[in-house]
Amino acid sequence: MSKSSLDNLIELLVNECAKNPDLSLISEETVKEIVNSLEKEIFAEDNRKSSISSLDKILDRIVDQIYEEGKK
Amino acid sequence: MRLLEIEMTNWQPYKGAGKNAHKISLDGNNGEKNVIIYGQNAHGKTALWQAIRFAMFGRVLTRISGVNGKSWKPLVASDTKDEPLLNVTAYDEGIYDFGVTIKFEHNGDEYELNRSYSKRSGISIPRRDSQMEETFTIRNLDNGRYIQEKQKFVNDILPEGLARFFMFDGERLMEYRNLFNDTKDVHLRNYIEAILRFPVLTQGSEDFEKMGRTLKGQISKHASKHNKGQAAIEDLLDTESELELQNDILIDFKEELSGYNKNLGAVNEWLKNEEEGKRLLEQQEGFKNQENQANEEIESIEKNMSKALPGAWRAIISNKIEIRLERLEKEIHRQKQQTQRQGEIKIELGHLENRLKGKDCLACGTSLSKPSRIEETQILEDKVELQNEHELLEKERLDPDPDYLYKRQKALTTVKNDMKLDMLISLEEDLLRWKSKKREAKQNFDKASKNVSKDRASKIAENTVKQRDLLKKIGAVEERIQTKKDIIQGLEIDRDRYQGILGSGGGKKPTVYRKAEIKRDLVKNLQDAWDAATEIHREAQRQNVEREATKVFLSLSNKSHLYKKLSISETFQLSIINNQDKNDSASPGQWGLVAYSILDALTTCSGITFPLVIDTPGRSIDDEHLDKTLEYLLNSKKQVIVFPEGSELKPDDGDKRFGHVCAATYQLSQNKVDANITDIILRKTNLRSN
Repeated sequence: MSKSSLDNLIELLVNECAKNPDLSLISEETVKEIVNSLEKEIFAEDNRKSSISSLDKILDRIVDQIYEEGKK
Repeated sequence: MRLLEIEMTNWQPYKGAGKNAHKISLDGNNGEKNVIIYGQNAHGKTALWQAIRFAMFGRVLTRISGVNGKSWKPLVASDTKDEPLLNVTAYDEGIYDFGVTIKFEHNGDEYELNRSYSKRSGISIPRRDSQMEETFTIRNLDNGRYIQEKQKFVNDILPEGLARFFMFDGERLMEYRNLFNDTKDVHLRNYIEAILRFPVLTQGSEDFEKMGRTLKGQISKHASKHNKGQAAIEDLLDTESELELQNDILIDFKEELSGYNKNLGAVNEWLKNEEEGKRLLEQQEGFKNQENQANEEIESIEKNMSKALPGAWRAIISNKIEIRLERLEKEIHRQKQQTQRQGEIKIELGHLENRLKGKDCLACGTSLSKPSRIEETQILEDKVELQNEHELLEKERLDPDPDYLYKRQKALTTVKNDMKLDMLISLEEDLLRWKSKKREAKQNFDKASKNVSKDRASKIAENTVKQRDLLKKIGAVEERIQTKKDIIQGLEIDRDRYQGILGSGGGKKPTVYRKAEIKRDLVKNLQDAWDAATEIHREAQRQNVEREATKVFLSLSNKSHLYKKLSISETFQLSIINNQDKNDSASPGQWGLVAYSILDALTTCSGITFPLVIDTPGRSIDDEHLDKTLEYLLNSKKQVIVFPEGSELKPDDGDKRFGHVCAATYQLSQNKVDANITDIILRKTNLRSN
């Protein structure tokens, strides 16, 4: 994916996330991380295991944040 | 990635090692990066470009493999007919080491990649691939470090599956054209999607979905641990296993649907090439659009209706409101009467009190005589009776709460007078109208194909019957899929309910449970956002490729005045649109250019920086177009390595016309002593070392 096209996808995703208050903790950086992680694993032949595992790690951070904020 | 040097050791016809290894340099003094390598047929052109592929991926396809082929050349063999990678003369001389080293620049650093083979220890004469041992290294020449995950590093630069778009044989250009036309072969289409990284989009959504499923399973486990309600646990587990089963069936249905769609694509493609078939498809498309429009309208109306009032309530609302209001009014009336009666009792009680005490009458003011003993007893009894009645009325009057009754009455009167009911009636009418339009469009669609089959040649009839049959099957499977989805949705609701029952009963949820719930919601929201964003993105990418390819095609074609654009459908079917806005069949030469244009557009839009390596570039296009194509490619930003066959581009002409945009030009020549060996002769040079 060309840089501009990748940027375009990231921008679209950031916009979509901004529309949903439940995704307010998903920053542009996180979106980039998610897209890059999926992009990296595009040809992985492991039934998507490594891709899901990378996504898991990224989302776990956000979940911790939401959980901590919920406790306050 | 930009190639700087290719060095081959006993590689196919390039015999020689160490100082005698064959080299091609691509590093121009003034940034020139292109190379032209002239050679007659069977003089090692293909072997040379395959060296790049071998270095990258460790294997190369045999000559008989098509673009979609999977037949690999053996590492060793004693006969050239077997197309071994180790030079046959070297093999005969007992030399079993061969390989390729490439130097390249990538993201600002220089690297040296070496992939070579030698015989395994203990083997005297290797006869099979398994008797050879590979050495594979990649070193960063700027910092001297070796790359650890070598193949991953290479795949990050260019995945093997996409190499076909960057390294291709002009002789097989038409196979690439088919690659964009062949609706039958989903596998091939997947490659086109792959180079545009569309799998990122679909896989992303699937990854989120898988995560969501896993999380829901985890939540079920947490919920069943959290509360030991045995019945609910069993229900939950049953629901989970039923869900799994139904999801598996759904996947099967989807595969079945994809198979039918593939076949339908092939039938439609056939029909498109027949005049009458084309007309039929156009008619059908019109009716299909009408049906789709009706579907959209129906969906939108149903949404509005469900927003206005929930469905079940809507059906019975008017009657229910009337009955409820009537009941409320009776209640309010009863309470009013009771309040009134309480007032009367109060007056009577006051009167009795005055009589007992011999005071004046409250109503007329006349003085009352003191009652006798018997009268006094009667008055006291009446008083108690009235007090009891008052007390009872007080209880009844306040049940239900009069405030509540008034509020309900007000709310129901508002609903009764609300415009929403009128709106619903109007929506209902719209719904019926669109449903009838949909039915009509569907009937017309069927009629259109029946008309053709009546009076047309048998082949068209046969294909339209096939088409009808497939459409029927597709409709049936789609219905089954929808039913299955409804079942799954119902099961998911049950599952959520059981999770709720189990999860809510046991005090505070453990952190891990709570976090799983947070993550489930997060993943669901992210998946929705992802799907919405990628839909827009996919279309934008398709338009990009279409625009880029059109630009290149119109700049190369000598008939550009006849054409308007290249059109690429959602499924990447390709057509040339002429100035009359019609699909143009065009000549094979024009289609050759289309293939170049699309390959160029796809590689550009992919964002992958890798040299374009083209063997026999003029094989599928005429001289005039070859000149223009080379002119365009060699002056583009891409690094281009071309291997023209003698008649395609004469070395003197090529050097004269394109030498200045090349780092060097080379000539391949068969060794005079040994026909199994090719020599490389440097012709024009702008190389850095010179």
